[in-house]
Amino acid sequence: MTDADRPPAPANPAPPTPAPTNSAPFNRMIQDIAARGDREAFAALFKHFAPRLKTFLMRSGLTPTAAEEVAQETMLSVWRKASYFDPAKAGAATWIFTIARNLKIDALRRDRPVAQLPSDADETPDDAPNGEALVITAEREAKVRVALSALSQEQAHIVRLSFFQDKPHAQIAEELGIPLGTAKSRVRLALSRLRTLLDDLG
Amino acid sequence: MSATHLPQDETLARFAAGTLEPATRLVVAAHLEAAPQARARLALFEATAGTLLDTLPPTALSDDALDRTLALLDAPPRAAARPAASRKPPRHAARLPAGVTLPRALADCTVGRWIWVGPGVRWSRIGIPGVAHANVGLVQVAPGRALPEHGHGGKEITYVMSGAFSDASGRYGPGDVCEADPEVEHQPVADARDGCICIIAMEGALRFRGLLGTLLRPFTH
Repeated sequence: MTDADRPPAPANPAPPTPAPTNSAPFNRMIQDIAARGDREAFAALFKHFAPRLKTFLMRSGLTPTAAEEVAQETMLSVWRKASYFDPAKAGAATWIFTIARNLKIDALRRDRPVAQLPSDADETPDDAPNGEALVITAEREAKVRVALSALSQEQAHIVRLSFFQDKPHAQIAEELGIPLGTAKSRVRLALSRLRTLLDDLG
Repeated sequence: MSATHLPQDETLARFAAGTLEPATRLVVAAHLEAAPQARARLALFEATAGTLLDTLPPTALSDDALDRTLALLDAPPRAAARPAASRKPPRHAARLPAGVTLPRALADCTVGRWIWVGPGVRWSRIGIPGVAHANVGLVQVAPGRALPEHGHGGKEITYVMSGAFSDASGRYGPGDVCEADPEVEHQPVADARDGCICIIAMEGALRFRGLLGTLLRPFTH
């Protein structure tokens, strides 16, 4: 990892959390791809997501070259699987993240070609009723934003590292200058607090 | 089947982030099939990851990355070179009692034959495609029998496929998961009527004592 993609240390409080993008326009782009193979929509999605996916994948332990390949493979998968996209289950960013995550897992497993796409059988069954489901997704995303902003700055930072670092415990221990065991319990606490906040938002 | 013991928040968050070891991931995937409540929590953590993805600083791709990807859009997927029909189904050797089925998460895995590892205890090794040494397997414990007391090098996670077991931390039934930290030494006892069949995964090697340790060594390393 280079210094350039290391998140700012919490010691220099420059809250780096830009207002997260509303997923509705991106949802529509994926649906346009599904409906009529809209290449412009694809290019717009690519320009927004591929560079962020590359950052995520590099922080997950892939080389820059592999990260770029998997980012492209993810976007290719978005094109091919667009008809499976269901905004009632997850918003665009979440759906694209899970595709990249699955390809990352495959890429990190030796002897396994990067190109092997996760089969649809991998997907967890859907038990949400479709009528209210769109609302449920939008609500879930709104709750996540509220919960993240309710965390202390240090906890928000720990949550980010937990999702986007290969070895979050070691990284947190180093950044905060605390023992590994303490870092582990802070991660546990931060994630439990996040989940409790999400539960409390009902 | 409705689970009452769910994975720890950190475990589900790591599942969402894709940072669990393959063996642990497999056990959580099996549990998710059976536990709507865990799926709902996972959806929250995945939405968290999606939301945070939007806040990551972009890293520039090579100049022609978009053009090269656009050129591939109409090409057949590379995965189609290996149609599913021509692939041999993986070997599932361990026989399961009537009414007990493997979770779908194990469909691509190999499941070895049952091996006797102690009175009333049988073990079957699970192989994960692309993973050289996955520390995961099925364990079947006869009614009222105890798994030999054991500690572990890392976290241990157990998913109950059928039956139930109890240890000092509680009773675990079908669909439940039980997570034990490295420092825990525990001795699960199978349900007196039904026994249990579980999937167990370890981060690091499981350390059984005595006879079982000796017997399992060739299979857990």
